[in-house]
Amino acid sequence: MEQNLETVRRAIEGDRFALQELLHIEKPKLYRMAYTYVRNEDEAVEVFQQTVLKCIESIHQLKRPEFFSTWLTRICINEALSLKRKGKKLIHLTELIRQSGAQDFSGEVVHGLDVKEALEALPDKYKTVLILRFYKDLSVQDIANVLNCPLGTVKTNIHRGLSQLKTQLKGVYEDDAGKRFN
Amino acid sequence: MTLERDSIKSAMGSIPLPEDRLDMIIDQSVFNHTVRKKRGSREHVKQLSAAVLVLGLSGTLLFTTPAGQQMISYLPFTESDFTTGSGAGELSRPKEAVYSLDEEVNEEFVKIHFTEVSLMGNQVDIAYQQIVDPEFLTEMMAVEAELFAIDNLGNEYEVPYNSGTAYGEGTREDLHWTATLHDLSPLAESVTFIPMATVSEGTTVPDGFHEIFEYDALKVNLADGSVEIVESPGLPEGMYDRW
Repeated sequence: MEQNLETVRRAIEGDRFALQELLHIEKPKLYRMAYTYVRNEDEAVEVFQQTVLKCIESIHQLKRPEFFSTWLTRICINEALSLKRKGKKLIHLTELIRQSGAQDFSGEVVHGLDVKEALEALPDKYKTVLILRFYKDLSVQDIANVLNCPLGTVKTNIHRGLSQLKTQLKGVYEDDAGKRFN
Repeated sequence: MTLERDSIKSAMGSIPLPEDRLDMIIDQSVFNHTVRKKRGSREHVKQLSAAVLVLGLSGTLLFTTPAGQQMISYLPFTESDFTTGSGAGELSRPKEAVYSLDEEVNEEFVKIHFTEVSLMGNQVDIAYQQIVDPEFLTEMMAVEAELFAIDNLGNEYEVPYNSGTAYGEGTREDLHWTATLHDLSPLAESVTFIPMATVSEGTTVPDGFHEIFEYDALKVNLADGSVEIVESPGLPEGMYDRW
């Protein structure tokens, strides 16, 4: 961690090799986060690229090295949401099929969803807090800082997000994965 | 909570990584991407060197170039009336104002429609729409309209956009932008916004095209909000090198 902080400091001071090293470390989580929002490889790569470019352009403004990862996460989420907003009128056919397959008209959950798909299908506000809390391991306070919203909102959204996940997965699995959410 | 954490981590970890593509982005961007500098500081130096001041025997300013005016405005003891000559100690523009606009510039198949300019001290916010002719829009095409600005004193500004939102029944690339110009010279009386649109097939299409459209500019009189479409003073240097 100390070593990472030193690398961040060097990156802030303009050391491009240090920045390259950091971006390679952050790469998997950044890409996977982007993917859960846009749900296709090309757009996730685009979000990743924009995140990298913004990082390069503004890392010199980062005041506290310990927040590098959080700061980068925030850029990534903003880029993903921005891309989604730009393309929101374009609903892919595959997504329509996926959405119509997720629930039948009686509202019953159809079998076949796994945790990843259920997570991807969550509304962005729930998806964001769950990823930050359980994938990025941020504290509730840090999430509130990243999202610039009250602590209570974060807690509520985590609770509701988990509830929705449970609902979507309820009855789907009889094995360990199902029990985790029941 | 540990179980939820494990499940979510496992689910996220199952998303395959396109390692090669991501590595290429990092390695190429880190060493090839040029960080855009604030133009203001560089231009400022040039302008100061070109400033001409003519002072009378009593110390009254008789003549100065626009650059000289700006230089004086930076001095801590300078009253604004010293440079404006108004003697009233007030700027010729309001400190706060909102002006509705309905001006369009068009180039190729991307139209830019300016809808509002607002002043807040030395900050200028502008709202505009980009409207793309659906006949030309392909599935992979991305359009991004952005602005630069120059004031009547010759100071150049970046006008980064804040956010873009989709609207109406147009194409998916029809967006409503807001953008902000910071640190407007206190002596500026008008600002000319210089639009530019980048049309591309995104960053993920091999050999995808990209093209820059240049437009006529929008000149806004900050005192009363009157506007006119004028010939563009030209884009800042290096715009065509960003790709």
